[in-house]
Order: sequence, then C-alpha cells, then structure tokens
Amino acid sequence: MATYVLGPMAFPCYTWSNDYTTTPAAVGVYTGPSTFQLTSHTIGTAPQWVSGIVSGCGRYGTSVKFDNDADHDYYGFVVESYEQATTRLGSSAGTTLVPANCNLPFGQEFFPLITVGSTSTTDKWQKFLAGGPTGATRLNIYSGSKPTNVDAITDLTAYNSNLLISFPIPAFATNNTTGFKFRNYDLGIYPRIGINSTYPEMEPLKMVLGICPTKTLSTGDGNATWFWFGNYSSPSNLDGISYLTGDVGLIGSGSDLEMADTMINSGNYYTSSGFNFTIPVYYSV
Amino acid sequence: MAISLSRQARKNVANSLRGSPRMGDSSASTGQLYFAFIDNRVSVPNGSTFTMFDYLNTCMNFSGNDGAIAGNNSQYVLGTYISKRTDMPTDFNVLDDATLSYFTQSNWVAHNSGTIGSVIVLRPPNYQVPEGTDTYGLTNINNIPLTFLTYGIGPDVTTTYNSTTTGSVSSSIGNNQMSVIKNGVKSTISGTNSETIYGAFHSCSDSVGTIGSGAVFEFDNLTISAGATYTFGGMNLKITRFV
Repeated sequence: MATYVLGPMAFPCYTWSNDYTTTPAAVGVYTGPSTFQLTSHTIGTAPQWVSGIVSGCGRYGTSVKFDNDADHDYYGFVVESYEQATTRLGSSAGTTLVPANCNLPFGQEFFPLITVGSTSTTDKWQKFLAGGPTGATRLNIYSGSKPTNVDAITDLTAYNSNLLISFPIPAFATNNTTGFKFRNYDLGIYPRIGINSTYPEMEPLKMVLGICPTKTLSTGDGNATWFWFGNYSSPSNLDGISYLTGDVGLIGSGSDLEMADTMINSGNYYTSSGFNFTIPVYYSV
Repeated sequence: MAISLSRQARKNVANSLRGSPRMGDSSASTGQLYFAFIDNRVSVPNGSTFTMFDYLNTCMNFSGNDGAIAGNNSQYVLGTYISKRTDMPTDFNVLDDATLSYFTQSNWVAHNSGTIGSVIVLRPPNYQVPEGTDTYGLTNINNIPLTFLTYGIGPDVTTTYNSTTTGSVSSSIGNNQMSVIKNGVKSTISGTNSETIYGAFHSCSDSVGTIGSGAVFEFDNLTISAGATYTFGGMNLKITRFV
C-alpha cells in the first residue's frame, strides 16, 4: 500500500477573520513556530473561527460582503457567481460566499465536515456532518446488523424497528460539554501551521462527536450493536446528506462507541458522551 | 475502528482538502498548486524515525544538507509542475465519487535524472504568483524555483520581501521574521529565531504510477532523464474511508 500524507495547507482547522482587508480584533496569538492559539471564540458573532474541515465562518471582505446574516453564523462556503460577487444575488442567511476570483468554479459549493455554527439555519445545513443548532444532528443507536454499505442507507426510517435510542445532539459549546469536542487540541490551539524541527509531524485531528448530556428516553429494547450519526435534515431521504455509521461495543472493546452495558431497555433515560472520530494525517491509498 | 462516512461526508472532506482556507482572498490570488516530483531514493515517511520534517528538509531545503541524506539535496527533485492560475477552476475539483481530482496532461522538463518515487504538493503563499513572471524567481513554470522553495516553504512571506535581481525571496528566515496568516490577515512577527518551517506543504504521496494505473499521481514515464520532457497526468485522490 502506498501512503498519502496531509500537511498544514491541507489540514483542517484554521482561523479566519471576519474582515480580511482590515486588521481585525485579535483573536489569537502566535505562540511558537508551529502553533497559533485562539484567545477568543464567540459562536454566532464575529466569525473568527476555524475553517477547513471544521468550520465556523468564512471570508468577509470590506468591499464585498460575503454574508447577509448578521450573526455571521456560517455553515460552509458557496462559490458565488461572478454576478453574485457584486450584486449579492441569491445569497441566503447563514451561507458564506467567496468571490469568483479565488479560482473556484462558479457555483461550486464546498462545505465543512463539521461546523461550530449553532444559531442559524440555511438550506445548505444538511451538508455538514456535525454541529449546527440543537437537533440538527442525531445519534441513533440500533440493534441488529449494521448495513454493510453505508451508501445503501437511503432511508433511515427503514431501520426504525431496530431503533433503541435517538439522541438529538445539542449545539456545540465552547466548554466541550455538548455537541462535539476536540480531543487533542485545546479549543484555542490549532493544528500545526507548519512543520519544523520541534514539531516534525502533523497531528491527526481527534474529536468526539455525538455528545448529548440531555437525558434521552429510549424507545426500544435490545442489544445495541451499531449507530448512525449525522445530519438529520432529511432522515427518510439521505441522498446528499452527511452521516456515518459505526460499531457499538462494551467499554474496552475498542468499538467506535463504547457503553458500559449494551443492553438497552425502553423507558429508561440515557445520555451520550459521544464517540471518537479522527481525521488522520497518514492514509493508505 | 469501523466508522464509514457517507458519500456526501467524503465529498466534504475532499472539498476541504481542495479549498484550503488560504487559497483565496479578496484580491486576485491565484491559489496555485506546485507539484515537486521526488526521486525514489527518498522515501515518504510513515511516522517512524524519518519524520515529515526530515523528508521535506531532504527534498526541499536546498541550502545545505539539513536532511537525513547527505549532500546537496536538490538532486532529489527531478522536476516540478506549477498549475496555471486559469486552469484551477476547471481542473481542480471534487468528483461525485468523492475523488479530489487535479486533471492535467501537461508537459514538464526534468532537471535531474532518476525515478519518480513520490510527489510533494505545495500551496504557495497567499500572494498572487502569476505564471510566467519573475516575481518570486519563477522565470519559467517548468523550472525548479530553487530559491523560492528554499525559503518560501514556510508560513506566508512577509509583506516586505527581498526580490533581488535573480528573483530570490528571502523571507521569514533571513530577516528573522515570520509571517503567518493571523486572523485572516498577513501579519509579521519579529524576533523569532531563524529556523526552517514548512507551512506551504499541502500533501505528499508515494502513490505514483503511469497514466491509467490508478495511482494518486500519474505520469507518462517514471524513469526520468535530465533535460527530457515528460507528461504529468495529474492527481486523483479518492476519499474512501477514515480510520
């Protein structure tokens, strides 16, 4: 097997300013040759947040306003047409538009996998895997056999007879208590912006998704074996929806989601501390 | 770990790799990609004692023997290809099957002889680097921009760079300064210790093969002779799974 390796320019998480062309309020400090630390991060206001695979905001220029949502609560990026770049046609609240002169195809959309945006909704929000307002994503625990082909799960409701618990995931909180959290980064420390002798390797991005401290009523009885997690905007039609599946097992089993007891009883209340999700640096190709 | 991502999620990952945060700004930046074709005498690291920093130092730091392999290191770059600014919108895309694809069938002239073993992909600093100009010593898109690669592979260049008559760029290291994109704006931070930092590094891979082989990077020929012209087929990285 060959190897494919990500570097700083391809890796997720990067800070953006709410205004590229003027000096913004400081949101972080340079703390070393390969690190940059956030000092402030306010969800839903000034979009000085991460971008890339994990995103909370987008570009914002003084000459071309990229978003008409006063909360600057972005979910992703849409490359506007040349006309839109100047006239703002077609923009919708919560979307971020980048100018055509950044060499992306007109009309192409690219969205973060995970967004820290939490307050706005937009017709584009089904594109991300995690984040968004409370209930935008769900963690569903199932009994029975996990579908072998993740893309064959076109209608999530078809598995309702095996559904044990359905956690509506709360919006992301900066204290890492709801939504998701970063395992190997303080909220304020980004992945490496560069590789040097002190930091000779990139670090994988390690997260926990599906954190739901809200007590949730189980609706089925059975042995939890697999889970579905993702965007819950259209559960009966998952075409174009970001989601994932994984295995459930006992603590220590090494399963994607570990539980003290996989036997679920209907009528009981459960919380979720989430499951591990990693974006690696090294890939086998 | 048995997590499986849906196609849309995989496309999101590919799109994030394609649209790195620094690729565009309010000015007419180019978002170009630089491909450096590396001799197979240097192995892509796999997380062992030969680190990514060692690999980049060996392949790209032409100022001396800073890598794990002795001697002047420029001989390991067999040649380069720089994507044209105007080709980026149409040629660098995410396909419906979540493949990050850079399509080109472009010629490049080899500078050294050897066998292609890996490819390094670089995203240059956020400055516009028009093809065919000498702003950063890039007199010809098919030449190895040695000086640029020596100093430009790091955080974005300072707002004040030295552009000598030879087109060299002496940026963050020589001036004891470092530029980073801080809050989306290029900032210069003074007083740092001079050191080599690779920040423009996008990715690398030793998945190389002939055109049609299905390798991530494809070429018409992997055995290279200095001075000869070859065809670079492009890049195809299919996002299939995570671990």
